[in-house]
Amino acid sequence: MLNLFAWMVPISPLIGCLICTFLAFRGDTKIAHLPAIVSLLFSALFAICLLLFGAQGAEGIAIFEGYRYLDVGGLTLDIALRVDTLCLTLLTVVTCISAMIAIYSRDYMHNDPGYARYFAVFCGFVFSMTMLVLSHNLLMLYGFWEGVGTCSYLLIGYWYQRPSAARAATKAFLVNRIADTAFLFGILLLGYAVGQTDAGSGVSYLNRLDFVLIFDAAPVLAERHGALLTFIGMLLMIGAIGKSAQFPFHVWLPDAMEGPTPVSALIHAATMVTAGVYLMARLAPLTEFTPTVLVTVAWLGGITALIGAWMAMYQDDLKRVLAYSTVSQLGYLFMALGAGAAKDMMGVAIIAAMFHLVTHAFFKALLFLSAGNVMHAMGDVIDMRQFAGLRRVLPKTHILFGIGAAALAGLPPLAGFFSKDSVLSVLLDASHDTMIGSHYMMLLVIGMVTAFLTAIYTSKAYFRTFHGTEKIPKAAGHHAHEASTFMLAPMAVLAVGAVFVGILLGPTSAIANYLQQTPGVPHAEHSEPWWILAGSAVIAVVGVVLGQFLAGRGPSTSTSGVGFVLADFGRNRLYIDWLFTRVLVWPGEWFARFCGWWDENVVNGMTNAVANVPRGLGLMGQRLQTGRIPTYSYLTAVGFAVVAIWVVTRTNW
Amino acid sequence: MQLMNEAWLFGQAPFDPGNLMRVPGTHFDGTFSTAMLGAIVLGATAYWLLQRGVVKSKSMAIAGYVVFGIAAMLGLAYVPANMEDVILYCFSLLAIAGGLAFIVAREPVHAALGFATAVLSACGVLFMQQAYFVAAATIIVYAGATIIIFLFVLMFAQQTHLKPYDVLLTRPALAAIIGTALVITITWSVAEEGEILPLKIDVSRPNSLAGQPALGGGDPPVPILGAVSSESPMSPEEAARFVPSKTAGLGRAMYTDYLMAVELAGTVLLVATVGAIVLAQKQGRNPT
Amino acid sequence: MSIIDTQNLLILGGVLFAIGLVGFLTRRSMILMFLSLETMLSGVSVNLIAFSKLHMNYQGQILAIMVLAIAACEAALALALIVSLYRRKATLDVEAWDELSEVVSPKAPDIPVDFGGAEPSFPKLTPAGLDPISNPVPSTLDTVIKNQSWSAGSNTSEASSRA
Repeated sequence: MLNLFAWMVPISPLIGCLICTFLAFRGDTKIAHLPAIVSLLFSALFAICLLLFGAQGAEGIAIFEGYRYLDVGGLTLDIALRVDTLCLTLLTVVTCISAMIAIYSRDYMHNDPGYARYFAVFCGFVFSMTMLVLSHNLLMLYGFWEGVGTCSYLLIGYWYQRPSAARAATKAFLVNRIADTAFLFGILLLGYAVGQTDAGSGVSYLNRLDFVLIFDAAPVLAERHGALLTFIGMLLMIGAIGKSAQFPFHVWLPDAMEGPTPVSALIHAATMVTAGVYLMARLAPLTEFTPTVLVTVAWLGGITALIGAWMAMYQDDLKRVLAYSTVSQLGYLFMALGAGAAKDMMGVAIIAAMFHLVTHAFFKALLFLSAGNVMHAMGDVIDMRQFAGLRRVLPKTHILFGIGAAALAGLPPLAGFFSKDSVLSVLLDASHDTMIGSHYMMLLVIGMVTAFLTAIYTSKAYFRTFHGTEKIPKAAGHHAHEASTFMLAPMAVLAVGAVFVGILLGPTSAIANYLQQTPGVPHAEHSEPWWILAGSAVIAVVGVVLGQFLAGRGPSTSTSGVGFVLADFGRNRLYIDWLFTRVLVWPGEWFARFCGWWDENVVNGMTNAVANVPRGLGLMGQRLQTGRIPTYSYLTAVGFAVVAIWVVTRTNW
Repeated sequence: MQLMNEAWLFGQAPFDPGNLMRVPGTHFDGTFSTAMLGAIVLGATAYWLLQRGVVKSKSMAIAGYVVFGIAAMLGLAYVPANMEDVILYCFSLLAIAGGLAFIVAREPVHAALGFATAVLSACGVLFMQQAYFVAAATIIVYAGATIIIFLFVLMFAQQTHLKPYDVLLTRPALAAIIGTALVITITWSVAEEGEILPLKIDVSRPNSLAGQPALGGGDPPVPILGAVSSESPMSPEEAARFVPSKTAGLGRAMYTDYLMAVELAGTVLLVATVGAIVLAQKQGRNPT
Repeated sequence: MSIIDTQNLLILGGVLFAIGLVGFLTRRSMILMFLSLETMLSGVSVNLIAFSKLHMNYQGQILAIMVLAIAACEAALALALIVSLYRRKATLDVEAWDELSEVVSPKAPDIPVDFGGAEPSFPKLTPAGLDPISNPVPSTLDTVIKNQSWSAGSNTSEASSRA
């Protein structure tokens, strides 16, 4: 029974994907949402069933055998699902939110020519994501890792006629490619390393990548090949931060907002970008032996959180604000994960990261969908300079966005408040570590600053959009209207989640108790000091008030001073893209151009030179083909005479 | 000359160096070779002078005649000319002279006459070799063909003046060089001493050896020139002097041993006749 | 028959063959080229007869007869071809037929009409009778001419029958 349920979670979206693909080839624009919504609802239902029935079992891990994918000689590869509480948490979030967003998409994508294509890729993404989460070995995880990347590419470039969308899709794909290459090398190297241990010897290469085997071999590896394990951990980390858009791979995520807004909500805010966090949490039994990697992760997360918030401060595009906010919040998650390097902190770190992941999925999806409503009503205009005071035009969206923004800003008692506090308190605990505590002390300060900035930019965006003098862009026309019920209903569900998930899971230790059933997550006691809670609430409130003040003041007009420099860097993405273009893209282009020149002139030249020899000979001979009998008879006679002379003179007389 | 009474003319005879027959280069010494070489080169020069002279000036043509005369004398001087062979050599010389006239003649009529001279002289040579039937047939066929072609020349070229293509030659110097090389090669290869495979008698074709019972040919034996009967087979010495000149023997061989070849030749003639008629039809009447 | 005679005959055949070859290469009139081929064949015949004599059998002669037969066939076909070619372009020049040449190959050289030297002289016959164009038959004489018995053989019989 549970086996069937577990398998139905990915298979249901797959069936929906196939039906939608069929409809897409038929050119459907009317009914493609039906198979998608139904299949995703079923998927969510099965995922909740697994959660309620305790599919992880008494041991905390359940393996659901599927079929044998490969059986060549000594090489076998089974496709199986690994279910534990860690993956069930993410699985439930993914399926539920994707079902909600699919319902939302019905009206949002209304009348789009690629309606069926959208839902086909949407279902394909959910299939890949659930399989990724349920993978029982790294190889399968990598396969579906690329699967979600492909779906992300297809959805970012959904309006492929738009050059900016096509470019953004290419950028996302290429940036992920760099990270995924490192990831693949890490996987292959890990397979080699596991083969060097007693646990892994005698096991075929592909089977060595099974998580159980890897975690068994990890202590031995750390003992014998510590440097190699650290190197492998670094490579795997690069894969994770690439998918999760951490510095320096964060550049693709803001551009990915070129896709449809529901896609931004689902893939680039709630689910796919958390795959990196999931990977690091999943590999916690491995990475706890490599503190260097975890500290690096924590620092990268901290840097990303800070610069993400900084850039979000100065964006005028509502979706960009949310995108940089996502980058920043993902940085939070990695900061929390990185705290696992401290003594006995691994379990707490994972719990804090997963907690913030869940709450963030809810309120960020809600925020994106609200932004989608605004965009829908404003005629695809998303620039905050062109509209203002929309609370009368979009009253329900105003309330929903407000809930999401409050949760993101960390106002108590909403979800973001609790999860962010848990992250900060984990960092505080980690800073007590005697060895590497100083890192976490600095990161705690960064986290505080980021929380403050988050509150500022969130409230700034909220007040700029919904308060002040009413201003509607011309593109909206006269029909600026509230979204339909089909769009608002799933948002209401998400809003409920954004309000109550935090208080239900966090203070009650529900999520902590649940996640500790997973074998890889060690049990740890953890207490949140009251001053963190209070300080965080004060920071949030002050930030919100400051944000309202900044929103009312309007954009700064000064052209000098610290404020201007900060704003200039924030608007220009800290010049990171600018730098990448010059340091990476242009040399690559020059090299490509040189290769092209080399190929066209040198290689082709040599080939043509060789090819010209017979051609030249043929042209020389062609002049003899006069078509006149005397020419031919003379040629024959000369040949005849030569042969005669040769015959006579060749023998020794 | 040694005749080997072995029956593997068409068989796969293993090459045996001890079996080779030596052909002595008796009188083809250095002097002769030089003389023949000179004759050939002079003949080619004569050709060149003549063909220039025909177009340009009479003096060159006269020089050509002179050079040809020198070449002929040079050639004949070193050929052992006993009195029996004088007529043969005269025919030979006439054939060469006629051929030369044929290829340098400016007017088609003269060229045709030169050709007739050459062919008739060659027939004379054949006649001197006792190939009477072949000589006669050649005269008939070539004379007939020559006359027909001559008529064609007259019909087509009813010309009040010469056409350029009758007078101008295509690269005569190169042609002369090629021809010279060819003749020198042939002369060299026949004149030099060397070894050839011994003569083999094909007893499966007895009639081609009609009149040579000593060699296993001819059944029933036919009385032939020299009154050699089957009762008294020829000794090898007699056979060496024997000449198979009897036309009757030729006919017997043709219609017995080579009957298939004759039939095939007749078929080819028939096909050629039909083809000639089809080819010569007017295109307008018969589009095929 | 000594081998020396055979060698001389072989040289004669070779010379005839070479003369035919040179003629074939240089002459441009198709009929003369054809005659050159025949010359080459007669050289081959001499060759064959010489070997027949040397080997004292009829094989060479029979081959010579076969050569004759094939030469006759060739003569028939070649003349037919020449006739049909002449009908196309009214010339016997082989250089005129170069339709199969490649584009880049040099064209046939223009044939100079003035070839120098002495113009051929043809025998001039004394003109006999009256030129019918410059001296048309007078109508008055028409009946007289028609009734003349010397006009044509068939006319004579017709006239006599009419009479």
